[in-house]
Order: sequence, then structure tokens, then C-alpha cells
Amino acid sequence: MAEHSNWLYRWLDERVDLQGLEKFLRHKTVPYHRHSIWYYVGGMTLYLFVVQVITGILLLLYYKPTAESAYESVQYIMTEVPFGWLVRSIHSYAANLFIGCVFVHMFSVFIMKAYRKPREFTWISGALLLFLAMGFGFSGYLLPWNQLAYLATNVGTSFATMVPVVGPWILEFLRGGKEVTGATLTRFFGFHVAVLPGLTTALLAVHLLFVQRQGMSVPIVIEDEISSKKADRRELPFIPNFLFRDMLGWTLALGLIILLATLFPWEVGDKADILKPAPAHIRPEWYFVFMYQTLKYVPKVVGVFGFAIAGMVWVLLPFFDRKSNRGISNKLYTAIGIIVVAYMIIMTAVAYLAPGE
Amino acid sequence: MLEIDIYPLEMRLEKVSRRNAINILLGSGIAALGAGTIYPIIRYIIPPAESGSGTSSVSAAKVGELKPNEGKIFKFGDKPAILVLKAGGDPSSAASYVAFTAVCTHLGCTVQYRADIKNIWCACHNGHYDLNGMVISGPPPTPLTAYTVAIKGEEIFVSSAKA
Amino acid sequence: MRSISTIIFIFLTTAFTNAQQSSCIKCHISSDRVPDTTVAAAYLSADIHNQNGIGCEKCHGGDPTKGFTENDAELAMDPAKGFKPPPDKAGIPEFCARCHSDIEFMKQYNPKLPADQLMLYKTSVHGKLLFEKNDTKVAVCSDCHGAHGVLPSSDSRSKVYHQNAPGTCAACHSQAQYMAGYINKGKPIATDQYDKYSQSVHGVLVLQKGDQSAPACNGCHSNHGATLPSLVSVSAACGECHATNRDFFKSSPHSEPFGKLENPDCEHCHGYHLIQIASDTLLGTSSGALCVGCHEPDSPGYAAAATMRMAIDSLKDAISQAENSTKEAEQKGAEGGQGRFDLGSAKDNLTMVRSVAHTFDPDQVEEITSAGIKTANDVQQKALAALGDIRTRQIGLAVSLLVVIFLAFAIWRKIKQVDKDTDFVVRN
Repeated sequence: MAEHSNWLYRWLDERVDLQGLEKFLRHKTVPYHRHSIWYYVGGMTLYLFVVQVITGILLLLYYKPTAESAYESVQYIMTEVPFGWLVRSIHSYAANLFIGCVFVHMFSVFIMKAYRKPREFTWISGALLLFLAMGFGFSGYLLPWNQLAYLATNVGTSFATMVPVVGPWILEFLRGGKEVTGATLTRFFGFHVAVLPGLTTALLAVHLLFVQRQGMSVPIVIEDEISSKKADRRELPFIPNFLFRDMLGWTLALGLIILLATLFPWEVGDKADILKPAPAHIRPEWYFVFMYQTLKYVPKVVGVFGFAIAGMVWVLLPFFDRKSNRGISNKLYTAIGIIVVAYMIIMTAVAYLAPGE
Repeated sequence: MLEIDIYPLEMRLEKVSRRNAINILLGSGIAALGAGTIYPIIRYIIPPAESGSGTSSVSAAKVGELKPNEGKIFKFGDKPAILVLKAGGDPSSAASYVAFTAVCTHLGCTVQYRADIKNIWCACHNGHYDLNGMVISGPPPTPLTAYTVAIKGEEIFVSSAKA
Repeated sequence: MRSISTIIFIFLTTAFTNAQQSSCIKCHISSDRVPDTTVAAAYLSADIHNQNGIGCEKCHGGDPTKGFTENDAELAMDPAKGFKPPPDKAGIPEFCARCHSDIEFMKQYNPKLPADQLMLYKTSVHGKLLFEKNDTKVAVCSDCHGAHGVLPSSDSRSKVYHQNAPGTCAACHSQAQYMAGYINKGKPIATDQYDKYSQSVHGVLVLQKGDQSAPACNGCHSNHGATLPSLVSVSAACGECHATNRDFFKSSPHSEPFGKLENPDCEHCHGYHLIQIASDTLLGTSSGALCVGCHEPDSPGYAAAATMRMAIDSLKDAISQAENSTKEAEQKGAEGGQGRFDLGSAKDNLTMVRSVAHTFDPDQVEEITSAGIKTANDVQQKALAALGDIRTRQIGLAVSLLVVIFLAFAIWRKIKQVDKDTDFVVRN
């Protein structure tokens, strides 16, 4: 390209093969069909992750991870630091949107069977990223050290005891002691800003690498239409067409987050008081609620193990769905996916609509 | 993506100008959003004047602000504290100052320094403390908690850390 | 624990070998020789006299070096060597006073210990009955302090230790039968003092919380000079601790008339023995208020009572309103504790005005409450403004959203544009 005759381009090109990268990006395309909209959710998730990294780093400038000053430091960020309220509220809202996008991304991939051969590793890394995202949510929720977070963490970590043999050990590992204390806070802080980001970055790199190497999966229905000549194979150049669409989504998402953060700044709540009794109807963050609600109906052990096994099956799903792997649409798995989504929505709705239970 | 020259020149020019207009629109939009993002971040990064949260030490006064035999109430965390420069004390020596929580141990009123009797005094029920924080008279059941005073440059710092 | 007490026991017994070698002890601790060993045992286990090396003979006379080995009690308890049988009850105060009223003697052991107990005792109701009416039912030294095994009042095992003192007094004063026949203010003496006291603000502090600064019986009635405070002045007794309230009261128009009442001064409103934590409801004209007992409606006093109560209530309302707003602002992250800090001075005003109310001067009360109300209102305004600030952020929001919409529009136009130049169909 002629306009790239400037010295910086040449200097970099000689060292990092910019032309190669450019060539790759220029030739990169995204399948373009009536289900293409779901392709944007992954990019949205990635974008929100970046938002989280940036706002998270900003929060680190003032946050203090001890029981004595965590709450005060968050209050300080919210009140004294210019735009601190904005940074923290964005971090909180984007976190929730992030988890939401992860779920949407995952279920869209599930329904379209995008996990099928040869994209098993993309699915597995993605499913593991979901667990990491939930870990982010769970550990980050405690950090402001307010009463609700304290109690939710108390309940949340207590499920570790269900694990046979090493359960008590896991509990102590998570809590940094027998109870949720300042030690737990410091530990969760470590998980939240060091362990989880490290693991996530590595896994995300793997995930994205697979996406780039293999390109986007085209749903079986569309493939069938193309192979039966009912439709053309259509593709969208990644640059600029797809990227601009991504950017449009990101811009609108940013607008939504700013709107929420400004109109409803994330509350600081009451400082955690270990001696205060737990209020009734204590509930974890919304993305854990379907599990929490389930545990009210089934014996705890059954519930915890049920979810553990379901989680494992979910991760290894591509290996079970042989039909999709052969490129034949699998109605049974579509039904399973819809049932799972419906179950989660209903359980969550029940918990929120009937708090008296 | 080769441009095929099938349009008359005017149409091409019109197309180019529209393209430019959109690019300017896009560029200015990105610039505005970028500025709108960078500005709060820079404001955020610059630490506010009010010292940090969960303070264990604050700058209570400047050297020379207090005259000998004078006291000052200042905010320490979310509670008041009192700094006193002892009568005849050297304003530039930390040893001439004493600092305590200004919350009376009786019913929690804010105490003050009484230059006439060289005591820390609570107006609510006439409680008197000496300049070691000890109760001299009145209803306070326990002494005032003492803080450590240090001078760094022109600032007098008071810290809750044990000396 | 057992071993520790053994060590202490060995320490005590070896430290005071004097006592061990005394023939008095040797016999009186041996059940072979005397029927009752409790006296010697009490003396040995814990007795301030024993600890100071004051042997039996110092009080009882006789010769502690003789008698045991000779197996002849008469040699030890020899009247020629000053032995005297223990005094009867009426003789006890003077028996103890032989040493305890001797200033020079007492200085050797405890320079701070007063030597005026007998003098005070003679002024007490107990002492007067004993010496003037020969009434031996009254308390003498040993009834409160014990005879053998006497402990200093600072020892928590002592019957006169602060926390134990009310029970010690109650041993007689709560027994209706024992107290029958005694008259106070023309009526049979009451025996419910302990029951009332134990429910009072002072009783709870002393008996349940072990508070050394709250008064036990002797806090108001004195100990050795035990008497009714009304005989002297109630406000002097209460004012010992409640100094500001006393001073305000003394300067008030109530001071003189209240002094002439049957239950004078403080007692008239706050009662005695069953003294409760004073609440604001005592003041004013509503139910529970005491002012209306004397002040008729439409009288200036009635109006003053209403005004003062109103002033205090307004301050309380202002504080609680400001507190609520501040808390809301804090929870919403709009305010970081400054309001709570500033509100401190309004709370000071509230504490102070409850004391100043004893001037019964509405002007003085209102001066303080209005200062507090002003502070509280300022805090309230600031909290509301802080909450309002969240709303002013909406201007920034509007600008940001305009930028976002503008950019979204630009991108959308751009998408339209680039799509126009794109052929989506892949042709192999």
C-alpha cells in the first residue's frame, strides 16, 4: 500500500512484519447471514473486559484491601476523588453487563452449535472463561466490604464444605481462616486483581487465537442452505465492515453504562459488621441466584454436586454432541439448551418475585 | 476492492466529498468521545486535596499556626481530634505538642482546650483532662486516647500509630 | 488453678510464719484442742491484719509464745499478760478503734487510711442508736467488715467491696422482720431499698457492670457516718457526680421551693433508690411530664415547660432528620462522613441542653437548642445538596450521551458507506 511509505510503518514492518498482519486483517472475513448478530456478542464481551481492566486499574489507585479501610476507601473514591463515582459505578455496571454478555455469548454459541468440530477447544476455553468471570464477580463483590457483600460471601463460601474430604480445607483456603474476616477480603482482593486476571488473560488469548485460526462457525442451517444452493455464501470483511459494527455496539454500550452509572450510582451500602445479624432474604449476585434458589428445593449436597457435574458436562459438551459434529442439526441439544436457559430464567424470576420463601 | 471508473466525474467528486464528510463526522465523534474519556481519567488520577481514606495520620496544622498555650480541633478520620501546643512550648518542636481524640469519654461531646486553666475541658458536664489525657475531674470515666505528633517540614502530622 | 492456689497458700503460710508459730493459732486451728477452728482458719486464709503481721495478741492480749507445747491454754490466755475475752457487740467499735483511731499507729501500715471511723460512726444512725439507745441490733464494724478474715475494701472478696456493699447493707435493711420497729420520717422504715436500687440506673451499673464510679449505698449515705442524705442535702449528694446539673439547679427558681419539699431537690423529680435514666419525657406538659404536677395550664411555668420540651424535641428531630439524610447520602456514595462529623456539635448541644434544662430557663435552653438546630439543618442541607449533586451529574450525562449518539450516528453512516462498497457474496 502506497500510503504506508512513512518511516514508522517501514521501521515497524522490518521488525514485526506489519505487512503480514495487515494482509491477515485485510483478508479476515466474518460469515454474513441472518444469525450474524450473535457474532457481535463475543466482541462486546471482550470490550467490556477491557473496560473492566481499565476501570479496575483506576480503582486500584485508591482502593485499600483491608477490613479497616476497604469500605472507607470505596466511600472515598465515591465522594472525594473527582469522577471516582463514575469510575466505580462503571466498573460495577460493566461487570454485570460483562457476565450477562458471557451468558448470551455462550448460549448463542450453544444454540447455533458453534462448539461442534473443529471448535471444541474454543468452547472449552470459553466455558472456563465463564467460570473465571463468575469468580471475578464473586471475589469483586466482597471488596467494598459492605454488609450485603459480607453476608453473601459468608453464604457463598460455605458451600465449599459440601466438597468431600477437602471441603473444610477449601473453605479455609477461600476464607483465609474459619470465618469471613479481613483475611478473606485481602485474599479475595488477590484473586480479583492478580490470580483471575492472569488466568483470564492466558485463557482469553487461547480463546481468541482459536477464533482467529478457525474463523467464525456458520450455523448448520445456513451451511445446509448454502450447500443446497438455496443461498449464497456471504461474508463481511472484518475490516472495516465488521469492526465498525462492533464499534457501534461498543459506543452504545458505553452510553448505556454511563447512563446507568450517572442516574443510579452504585451504592456503597453499610459497612460490614460481623456482629450484626443477617437480614432475611439475603441473596447473592443475580448470576448466582438460579443456583441459590435451586438449593432451597433440593438437598444441599444434591444441589451442589448436581451443579458441579452439570458444569463439567457443560465444559465437555462438544464431545457428547456427536450429531452436530457430523454437521447434522441436533434438535435434542437445541431443546436442552432452551430448557437450561428457561430453567435459569424461571429460577431467577422465582427468587426475585417471591422473596418470602 | 478496485474502484472501477464507471461514474462521471461530477458524481465521483460528489461521492468523494460525501465520503470526506462522513470521515470528518466519524473522526470528530471519536475525538469527542476520546476527550470525554481521557478528561475524567486524568481528573481521577490526580489525587484530591483531602487526604486519603481510612487515615491513620493527618496533617493537623502548620508549624506556627498554633501559639503556645493554644489548641485546635481537627478532623481525624470521621471523629474530631485535638492538637495542643503546650504553654511555653517551642512551636517547631514536635515534643511541645500533644494530640488526643477530642471525643469526651463521658457522653461523647467534643472537648476543647482551655488556655486559662491549661486543661482540656468538656463543656457538656465540666469534665477536665490534663495534657496527658488523664481525667483530672468531672464525670469522664477513662482518659482520652493519645495520638502521636510529628513534624515534617512545615506540617504537623498527627498519627494514631503508637509511638 | 489448683496448683496456683496451692502455691499462693504456701506463700502466704510461709510468709507469715509468725502466725504459724503463734500458740494461739496452733491450738485454734487444731480440732483436737478447740471445737471451732473457723476463726483461726479465716484469719489465716485472708486477713489484712495477718498480712501485716498483726497477731491475735495485738487485739486479744495474752502470750502467743506459751501454752501450746505446755498443752495449757491458761498460759497463753493469761489475764496477767493482758488477755481479755472478746468484747460484746456494743464494745466492738471501741475495740477496733483502739488501733484504728490511733493516727500514728495506723500510719505505719497505711499512711492514707483515715483514722476517723469511730468519730464518723458516732454521727451515724447506727452509732447513735448503739451509743444512745443501747440498741445492739445495729451494724457495728464486724457486721460489715467481718471480725476475722478482714479484707480491705479494695479486695473484691470483701463484703464492703464496691459491688458487694449494697448486698451487705441489704442483709439487714431488706429484712422486714429485722427492721420492724424502726421509724423513718414518722413511718415504719422501708425495706425495699435494695430491690429498688438494684433496678435503678446506679444499681445496674454497680451490681451488674461493676462500675466503680456509680454510687453504691455509701455513695449517698456515707459509710461509717451512714445517715439519710435528706438530713443534710440531697443535691449535695447527687451533685458530687452530677455537678453541672446541681449547679444549674441551684441557680434555678426551683432551688429554694424544692429544698422545702418532703422529697427535696433532685429527689422530687428523679426519685430515690429507684432512680431511672432521666428521659426528655420528664420535661414538658405531655403525659409522663412532671412539670404539670404543680404548674397549672395557662400559667407561665406551664408555658415554659412546654417551650423547653419543644426546643429539645425540635433539636432531636433536626438531628435525626440530618442523620437520615446524611446516611442516605453516604450509602449512595454522595457524601463521605463530613456530615456525620459536623453533626457531632449538634449532638453536643443535645447532651448539653439536657443538663442546662435544670436551669428551668427557656431562654438558656433555646439558646443551645437553636444553635444545635442550626448545625443540624446545615448538615441536612449539605446532605440534600450532595444527593442533589448526583442529579447535577445529569448535565454531564446529557453531554456524554449526545457525544455517544453523535458517534453512533457517524459509525452507522460509515457502515452504510463501507457496505455500499462491499460485495458480500463469496464466489469461488
